[in-house]
Amino acid sequence: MNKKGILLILTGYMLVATSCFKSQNNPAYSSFFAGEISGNKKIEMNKINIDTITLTNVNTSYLGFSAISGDSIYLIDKLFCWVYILDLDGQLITRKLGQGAGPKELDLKFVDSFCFLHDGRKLFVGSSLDLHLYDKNWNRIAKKVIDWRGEYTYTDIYQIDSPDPAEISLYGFEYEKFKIINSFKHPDVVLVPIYSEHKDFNAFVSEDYYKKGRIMASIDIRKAKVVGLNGRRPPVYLENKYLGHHSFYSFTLTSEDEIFITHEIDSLIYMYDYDFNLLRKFGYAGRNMNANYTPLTTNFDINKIRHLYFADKPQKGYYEELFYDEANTLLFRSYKKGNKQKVDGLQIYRENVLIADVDVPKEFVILGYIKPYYFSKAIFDEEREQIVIYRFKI
Amino acid sequence: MRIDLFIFLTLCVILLFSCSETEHVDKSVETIDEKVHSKLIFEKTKIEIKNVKRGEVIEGIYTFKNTGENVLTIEYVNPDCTCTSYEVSSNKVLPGQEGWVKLVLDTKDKLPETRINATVRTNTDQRFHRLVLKASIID
Repeated sequence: MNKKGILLILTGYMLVATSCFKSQNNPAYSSFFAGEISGNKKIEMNKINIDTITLTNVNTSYLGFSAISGDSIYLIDKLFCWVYILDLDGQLITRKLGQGAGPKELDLKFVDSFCFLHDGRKLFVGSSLDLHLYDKNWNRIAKKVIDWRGEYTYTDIYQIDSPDPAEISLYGFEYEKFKIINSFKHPDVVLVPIYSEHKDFNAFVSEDYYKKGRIMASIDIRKAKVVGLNGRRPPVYLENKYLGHHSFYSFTLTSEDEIFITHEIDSLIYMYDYDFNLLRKFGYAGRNMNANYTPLTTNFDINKIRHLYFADKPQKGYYEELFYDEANTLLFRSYKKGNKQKVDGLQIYRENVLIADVDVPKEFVILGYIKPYYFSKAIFDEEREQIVIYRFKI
Repeated sequence: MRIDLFIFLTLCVILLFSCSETEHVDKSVETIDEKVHSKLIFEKTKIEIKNVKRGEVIEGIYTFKNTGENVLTIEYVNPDCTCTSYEVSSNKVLPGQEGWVKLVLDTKDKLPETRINATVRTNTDQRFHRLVLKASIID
């Protein structure tokens, strides 16, 4: 092969290699948030009637998640790795998996997160970047570890004083708010919140973390590789230096892969396309939220940070979860008011218009919709040995 | 002769692959429900130890009794943290006999309020049991 041929092959290889990782060319920070606030408020309901479903005698560790997929409710036991499938009334239909190394078992000490993919596959994630993938019949397809290296290894990046915010190894899964959503347009890609613990680039010490830090990773589960980093934290975080204990967000997708995001302390909801171009922003503050946030004003101090997480944060109100009912074009946002209030809140938007902001029981967090009911996430009550799910119609 | 050799090698390869396929079948799920089940009752499943000096290694001992009519098998104990090791009195416990599971936690790098969970897998109907070791650690 002559030199020209080699050059062509190398060029082609470089093109393919660079196109695999989707990194932004550092768009201006303002482009993620600038623009008019749209929408308005037109309240259509002031109250919703909520049913309570109480499950007892479930063989569970009382550490769990819930999910809705198709016409069923799922309870996922984080410790025992059982997956319970329930009908709309909370009646047990069947049970799948369970901890173990068999082909129909889940080989995890603890399930950190999960995702039911649109094509019926099921993904479970452990604490070592390990992916456990099952087919629609609950047979194990693959067990992989994500290659999270960028230009540097996870260890090496911590020795660098001013790391590049686009560097993959700077980030890891946001275990505090570990929600995984499958892209509709890219069946093997899931989107996951990320954060950084770098000594100079983290939520408690760094302005750049808020201006330049990426917030979401795209992961190709077939290749077990990070294929994109994107998003930013909104300007409200720069007004409170620093609210690391509130630097979380929740998100949901439309079937066109448009992304709705709500950040814990920002009353606005941002809607982006898949490439994080801002489409619109809208939203109103929740009612009776204690928004008197306490920043960390000193240098990094682990004891003060623990206090902020465990003692201060429960007193405060913040936005917690989003669910988009595409068929009815309704967007639901759950929020906490703070522990002095006896209830929490739920907002409902139709397009950009707030049509309801109602009280809901403490711990109520919106989960999803199975006609004709909207469901809350399951509340695992270890003391009473019961699981509670709320549901309502509108 | 060359063709014969080719056929022979092909058969060898087929045989080799067919053997390895059977080896990959994991029987653990298929057989679990065929096993003779036992019963057990833990005296307690949660232990809390307060005022632990950071760096101390603490133990939680969880005693249980085989209340079934068959031999109880402790298939494994699986703490959810590498900071915790375990011991079991015996993997097989006869009907009416008692046994124990011990969790051993190194508190060196743990949060002030630490909680360790361990899954115990047994040949009971329930199959999994959760043990909790809580520690309040002081610096």
